[in-house]
Amino acid sequence: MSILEVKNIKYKYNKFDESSKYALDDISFSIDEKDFVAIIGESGSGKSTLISHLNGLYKAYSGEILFKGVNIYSNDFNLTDLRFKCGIVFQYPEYQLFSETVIDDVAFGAMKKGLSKDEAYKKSVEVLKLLGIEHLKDEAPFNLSGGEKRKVAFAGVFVMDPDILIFDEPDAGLDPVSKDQFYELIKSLNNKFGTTIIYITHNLDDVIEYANKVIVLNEGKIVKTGKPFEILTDKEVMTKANLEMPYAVSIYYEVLKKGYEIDKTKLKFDELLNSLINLK
Amino acid sequence: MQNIEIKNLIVNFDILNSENNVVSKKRAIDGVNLSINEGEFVCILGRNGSGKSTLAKCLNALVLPSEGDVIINGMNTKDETKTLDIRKNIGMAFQNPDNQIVASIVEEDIAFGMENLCIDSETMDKRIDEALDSLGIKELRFSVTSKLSGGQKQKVSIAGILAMKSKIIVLDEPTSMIDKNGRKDLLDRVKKLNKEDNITIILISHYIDEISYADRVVVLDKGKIVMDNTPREIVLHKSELENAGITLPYIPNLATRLKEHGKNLKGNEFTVGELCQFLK
Amino acid sequence: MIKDITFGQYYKKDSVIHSLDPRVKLVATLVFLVSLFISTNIFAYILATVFLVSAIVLCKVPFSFIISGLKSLLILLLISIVFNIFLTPGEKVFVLGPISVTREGIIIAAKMAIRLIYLVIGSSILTLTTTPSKLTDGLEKGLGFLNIFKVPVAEIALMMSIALRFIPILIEEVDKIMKAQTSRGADFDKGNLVEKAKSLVPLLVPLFVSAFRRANDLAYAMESRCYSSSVHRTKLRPLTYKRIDYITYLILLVFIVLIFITRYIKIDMIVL
Repeated sequence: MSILEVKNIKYKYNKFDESSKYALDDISFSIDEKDFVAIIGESGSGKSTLISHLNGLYKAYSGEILFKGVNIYSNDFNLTDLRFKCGIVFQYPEYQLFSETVIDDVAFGAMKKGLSKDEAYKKSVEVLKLLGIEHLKDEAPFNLSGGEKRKVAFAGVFVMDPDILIFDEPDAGLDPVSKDQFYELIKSLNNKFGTTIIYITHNLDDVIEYANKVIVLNEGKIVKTGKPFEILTDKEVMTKANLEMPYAVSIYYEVLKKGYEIDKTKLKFDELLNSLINLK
Repeated sequence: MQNIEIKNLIVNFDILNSENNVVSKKRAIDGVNLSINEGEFVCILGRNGSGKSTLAKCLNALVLPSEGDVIINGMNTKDETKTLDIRKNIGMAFQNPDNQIVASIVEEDIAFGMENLCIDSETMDKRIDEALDSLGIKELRFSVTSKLSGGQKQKVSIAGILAMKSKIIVLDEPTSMIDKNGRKDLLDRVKKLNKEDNITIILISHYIDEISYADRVVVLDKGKIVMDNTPREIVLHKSELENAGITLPYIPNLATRLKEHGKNLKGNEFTVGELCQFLK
Repeated sequence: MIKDITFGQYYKKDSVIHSLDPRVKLVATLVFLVSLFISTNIFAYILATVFLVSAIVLCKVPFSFIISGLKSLLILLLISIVFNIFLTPGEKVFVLGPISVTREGIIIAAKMAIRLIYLVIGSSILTLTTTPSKLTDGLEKGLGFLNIFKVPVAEIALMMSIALRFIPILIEEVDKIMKAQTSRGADFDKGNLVEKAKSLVPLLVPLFVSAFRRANDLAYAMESRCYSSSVHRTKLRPLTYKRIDYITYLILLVFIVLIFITRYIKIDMIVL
C-alpha cells in the first residue's frame, strides 16, 4: 500500500515573479511502505525543495500530497502531526541542536509530540541506546564530533516514532567508515521497524547498494522513477539529469563492451564481484 | 630546493574547564617528520580527528608548534617577523567555502590578499585576470559571491591565493561541502595548476577517492604519520589503511577482491579501464 | 519564509547610478532624507517625487524588485497611519461612535506614509546599486578625517563590509534552522509573549553557535591571506571622482536649494 502519494505538485520560490521558473514542476510519484527511496539529481534540481513538501514545510501551489490516503492540504488535516510521522533529518546537524545536554535535545521532539517528561526521557534513552550513543547522553551537544552530532540530530527525529524517515544528504562530509555505518543503521531500521526511508544523495554507488527505488530530478521535473539498476544503467536518463554513472554501471558497460554477458539486475558490490569472478 | 620541512612536530591543545583553567592537554600532532619538495602533489589522508587539519594550520603559522619546527622555504614559523612572508609563500583554502570569502564581489575577494600586500591597483587588475583564467572562471569576475555554487566559491578562494603568487597551496578538505561533479571539476583544475604552473599542492582529505590525483599520499592517524607512499602503493595495504580508519576506494577495493579470487590484477587499479584489463 | 527579504541586497546592473562614486550616493541619500523631513508642502513633495522617480528610472533595477523591500515595512506603515488618522485633533470629516477622523489627521497620515515609503525606497536604491564593499569604501574615505581623532576608520569599514556580506548567509541559515526545528514540532507563532520568546531558543542557539564558528573560520582565512590590522592596505579600485560625480553633486545642490525655496512659497488654496 502506498504510504505517500505525490500528485502533480508545482512550486515556485518567488511567487511574485511571473517569469521565474518552477522549482518543482508537475511532480508525481508514490512511495510504498518499507520502501528505501533515493532522490538523485544535480545541485539545484529541486531535491531539497521536494522533501520540504513531504512534511508540509512548503505548500505546493497546485497538486496534492496524500499521506496514507489523506490529502495533507485539506482543511482539517493536522500538519504538526504529519511532521511527527514524516521526520526530516536535515544536512547540518548544527542547525538542530540547541539544548545543554544531548538527552534534553533528543527529548524535545518527543515532548512536543505530547509525551510526558518522564516518558519522553525514557524513550530518548532507548533511541540513544539503539544508535549506540547512550554514553553521550549528558554531554553538551556542541562538544561532540561531527559524526556524533549527526547521530544526535537523527535521534532527535527518530524519537518521534516516524513512519517515514527523510534525510537530506546524510552522507555529506562523513568519512567512508562512518558513512557505511550510517547506511547499515538505517537499513536495519528499515528491516526491523519497517520504517520507510527517503534520502537525497550524490553517491550513486551507495544507491545501488541500499535503495530499492530511485527518483531522478532535473530542473524541477522528474526524469524517471524506477529500480536502481534500471535507472542508473539508462544512459539517456543519466545524460538528461547530468549525472555521472556510478562505478558499478561503468564496469557493467565495460564488461558488455568486451563481449561478455553480465546480469544487469545484480550490481551491488558483492553481486558484481561474484559476476566478475564467474564471467565466462 | 626544499619547500617544506617539518621536524619532530608536536602540537598540544589545552583542554579548558568552564573557569578557563587548563585541566588537561590533548595531543593533536605527535612527532611528525615530513619534507615536501617543490612541485609535489601530496594528499594528507586521515579520518576525522586524525590531526590533519591541525597539521595544515601549522604550515602557515595559524597554529604554532608546541615542540619541534616547521620551516617553509627556510623560514621558521616560530619567527614572528617572518609570519607575513610565510603566508605570502603558502596559500590556504578551507573546508567551508562560505566562511573564507571576505567580499561580496568575486574580483574584490580575489584582491583581498593582494590589498594586504600593498600591491598597486593596476597589477592587481592584471593578476585577477590571470588567476581567474587559470581556473577557467573568467566569466565570474563581477559575480556576487553569495550566489556562487560551492565549487565556484572554492575556485575563487584558490584564485585569491594564485593572485598573491603563492607557490604552495594547502587545501583543507576543500571538497567536503560540494557535490560530486563540482568536486571532480575542482580537483582537475588543481591538478592542472600543479602540472602546468609547478604549484606545490597539499590536499587534506578524508575521501580516499581523491588520492588518485596526488603523486604522494601521507596517511595520518592519532597525530602520527602511519604511511607515506605513492597512491598505487598505498592501496595495496588494505589492513594498514583500515587500522587508520580508511576504507579502500571502490575500484581498488574491487580489484583487490578479484585478485584474491585469482584474477590477473595487481589490486592497485584506479580506473574502470584498468580494472577490466583482466578480461582481455 | 524569511528568504523573501530582498531589502538592501545589491542588484547587479550597468547603470549611471551604479557607476557613481559611493561617496556621491551616500551624500545623495542623506540629502534626499533631509529633504523629506523639511518638506512642508505639495511642491516639495513633487520635487522629491521627481528626484526619486528619476533615480528609480536611471538605476535600471526592476520597480517590482525595489518595492518588494516595502513588504517588511507594511505593518509599521499601517500603525503610523492608523494612529495619525484617528488621534490627531482637528476639523472632523467623519465620525463613527467615539472615533473621529479629522482633516489634519488624514494630511499628517498621508505625509507620514509618503515619507516612510520614500525613505525606504531612497535608501534601498543606495544599497541596491552599491556593493557593500563600495559602500564601506565610500564611508571609509568620506570619514577618513576621523583618523585624526584615533578612530580606526579602516577597521570599522572592513568590519561593516564583512557584516553586510554575511547578512544573506545568516538569513538563509535562519531559514534552514527554522525548517529543521519546525520538522521537530517547534512552533514559532503559537502562544503568548513568554511562550513565543521561549520558542526562539531552538532558533537562536544554533544561529549563535554557527555565527561564532563562521567568525572563527573567517579569522583564520583572513590571517592566511596576510591580513593584519597594523599594516597599511591598498585598494583594488581606489575611489576617484569623475565628471559625472561632480555633475551629480551640482544636481544635489540645486535640488536641496529648491526644496528650501518651497518652504517660502505660500499657497493657501492648494494644501492638498
